[in-house]
Amino acid sequence: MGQLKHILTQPISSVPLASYRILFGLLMTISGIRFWYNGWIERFYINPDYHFSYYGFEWVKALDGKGMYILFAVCILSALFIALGLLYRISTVTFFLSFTYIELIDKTTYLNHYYFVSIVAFLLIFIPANAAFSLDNLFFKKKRTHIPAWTKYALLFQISIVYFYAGIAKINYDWLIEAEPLTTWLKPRYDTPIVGELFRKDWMLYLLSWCGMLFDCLIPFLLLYKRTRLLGFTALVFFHLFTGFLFPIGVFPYVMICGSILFFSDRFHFTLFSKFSRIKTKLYMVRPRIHGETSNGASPFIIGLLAFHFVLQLLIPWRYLLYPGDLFWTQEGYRFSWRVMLAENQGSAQFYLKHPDHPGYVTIDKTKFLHPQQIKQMSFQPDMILQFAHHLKEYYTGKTITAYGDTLLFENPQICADVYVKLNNTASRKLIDKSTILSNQAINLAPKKWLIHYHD
Amino acid sequence: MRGYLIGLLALSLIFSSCDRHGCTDENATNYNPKAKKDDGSCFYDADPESFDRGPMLNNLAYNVIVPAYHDLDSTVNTMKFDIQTFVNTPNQTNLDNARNSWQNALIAWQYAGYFEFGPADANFLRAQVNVYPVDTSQVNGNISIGSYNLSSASNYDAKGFQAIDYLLYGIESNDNDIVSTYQNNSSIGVYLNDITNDLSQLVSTVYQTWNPNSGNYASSFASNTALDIGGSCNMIFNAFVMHFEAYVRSGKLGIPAGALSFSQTPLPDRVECYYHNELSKVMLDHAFNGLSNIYNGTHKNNTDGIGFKEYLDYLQTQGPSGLLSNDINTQINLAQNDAAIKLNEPLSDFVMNNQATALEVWDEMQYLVVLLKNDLKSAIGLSITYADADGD
Repeated sequence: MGQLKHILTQPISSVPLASYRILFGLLMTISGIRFWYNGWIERFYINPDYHFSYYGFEWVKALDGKGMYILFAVCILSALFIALGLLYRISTVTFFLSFTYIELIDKTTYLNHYYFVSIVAFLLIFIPANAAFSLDNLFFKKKRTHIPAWTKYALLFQISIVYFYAGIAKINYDWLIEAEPLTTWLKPRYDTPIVGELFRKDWMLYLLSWCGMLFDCLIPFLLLYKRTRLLGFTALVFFHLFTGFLFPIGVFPYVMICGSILFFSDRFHFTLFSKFSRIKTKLYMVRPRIHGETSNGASPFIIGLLAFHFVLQLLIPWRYLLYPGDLFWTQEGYRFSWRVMLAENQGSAQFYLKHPDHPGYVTIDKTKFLHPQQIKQMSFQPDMILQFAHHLKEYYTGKTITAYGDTLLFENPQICADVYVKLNNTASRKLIDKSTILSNQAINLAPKKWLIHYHD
Repeated sequence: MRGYLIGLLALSLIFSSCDRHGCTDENATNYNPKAKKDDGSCFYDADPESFDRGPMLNNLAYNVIVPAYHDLDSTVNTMKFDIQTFVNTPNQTNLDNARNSWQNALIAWQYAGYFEFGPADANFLRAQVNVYPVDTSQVNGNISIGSYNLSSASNYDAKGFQAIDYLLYGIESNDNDIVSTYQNNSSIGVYLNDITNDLSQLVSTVYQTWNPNSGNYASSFASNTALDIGGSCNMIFNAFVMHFEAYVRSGKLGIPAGALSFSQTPLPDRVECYYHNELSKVMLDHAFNGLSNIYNGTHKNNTDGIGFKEYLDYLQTQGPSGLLSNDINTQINLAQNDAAIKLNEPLSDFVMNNQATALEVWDEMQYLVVLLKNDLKSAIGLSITYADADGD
């Protein structure tokens, strides 16, 4: 215990965190601008009439009018401030809150790498990554050459969790024995430049699956040990750029490559900065310099908070064990678990409006309510299907609807759905039957008893 | 025997050597190096190992879609001529001829209706050609007023095949009275001619846009092999699945059978060809053939070419009871046979008296929609991406 405390509190150079801070801030700035430039703010947050909120976060709503743009502007500017190391504590808090708020608006935009960004932003609040090479050094005439080791180790641990959990998630029958979903995804992509013809070959698809699994499981260790670090880093850059080339995963590859530089030695980071000698002299030579770090730099509150955070990080991905049935099928406990590019789920959900006094099921055109991206994501995820059913019930209550000869007033509309899902290379199966009145099912985190299980 | 074969070979060589028309695509199985002008006869043997979307789209464009439009265009022209003859000289023979060619043109439509993208979509073809139920009061109003704008959307259900159905079969209860109506009232003949010309113009516009010798949309369609949202695979997939779901499954059977209403009351007047309701089932049967042609890439003369089936064979996608490529054909046949055996003409009476049986057929068609919309779509790798995605 004492040894652990010594390892965590020993002073380390403040430079590696500074380079990480700069790269992370810049990437987030670019990522935010790209999102804006692509028109996605309007498409995903302003245009849709309905958003799929997270359980317990129903109060997080898309902002009206220009509000969404202002929120994004705040998010992008705070990311830039982080890169510059300007008003660091305020910018990290602002970035964490604005970014997380945006991500909480709609489940259908959930991506593992957005979740990762939120976590890193949260950790940065407590990590003095502005100790060196920051504008704060200039303005406050203070810099620290050394900071306690836990600040860097917290990030290293977080990054290692992401890879390792992503790796063990790949140890499953479909991934290793069937080479799925890579076969489903890549076999039609035989026209990909250079490597495409290889996607026709089964051995290639197995090779990619197994290498992907081994890479994710081993990369934290390869990076931690000095002797394998360069090998690991080369593999990591290749892996991320290759997946970035194949799949529409945005800035994710660069976020992860940027994280990996934290594993490198202080000397590596000094060399990095010596390339920018003028900045170095201006920023690094700020006086008075505080050499070393006497306190461990963290209050008991922060230590407790981080300990709690990491316990959660280690436990949350296992929560699926509390749910009956196949995780990939029911999707219960799937998110927030570093299951990245792990399964191909294609769902089709046909919603019906039913009058309690009549036998018929009248189809509902969901395109009147949802954006295509929302439909695609919802169609295989039961929690979203249930939310949408409740939304439809609210919409139709009190309305008079005409369909093919009938005109009825709906005081208590019933919403049902036939949902079929195709998982990887297996045939579609029924996930939800229209005999379940979805609008009567409670929205909560308990197992959804009305799902038709995969092995039934 | 051997001599006979050699003789046959020699004979075929002699014939082919003086044949300037043939298949000019070197990649085709029946490539004819002597052919100077392509006659659209190319077909391709699918090697599952080296499947390519290019030849599939090529086959669909030149051997399925263009011939379907060509058929539609020529049968509609015949219909136009026969209707004109009938209007000019209303008698029973001319009425029978007009009815007969109307029927042939409507059958041709069952094959061409699946391609509502590109040229057809731009011209709102389906909405102007075959909407039912026909609005008879609008038709009668147009006839009595004598002035109408047929391109206006408000007249979409007062024209097209179904309005012709009404005017050739439904205006009186027997043929004698129908003929004499045309003899005594010239404005009804004028209207029938006008809507036939309108139909013929629309069909001709779309056909000529596809036609390799004219607009040649076929060529740009065949070369756009991308899997993204603007690619040809996506366009034709969405178009034919949507047409089957909404206009065949629901339109031809589900809505008349009451499967889409709250009270599940049958709606006999919603059948296709309501005024000549001996044909509703015939049209449904042809619509199944049309679907099968696209899925299998089958040519007009029943030669099997490359279609989505061969694509699935390459992918080895699993279906509910074996290879998905075969399961889809099994389900098409099952639904088609069910419709052929269980349903009876006239469909409008059948849905009233045997609704439960009609709903059984509907269920089989419903399941076919799932196989197409879910299994086929996921398998062929249509990448419909709206934003970044990491696959969860």
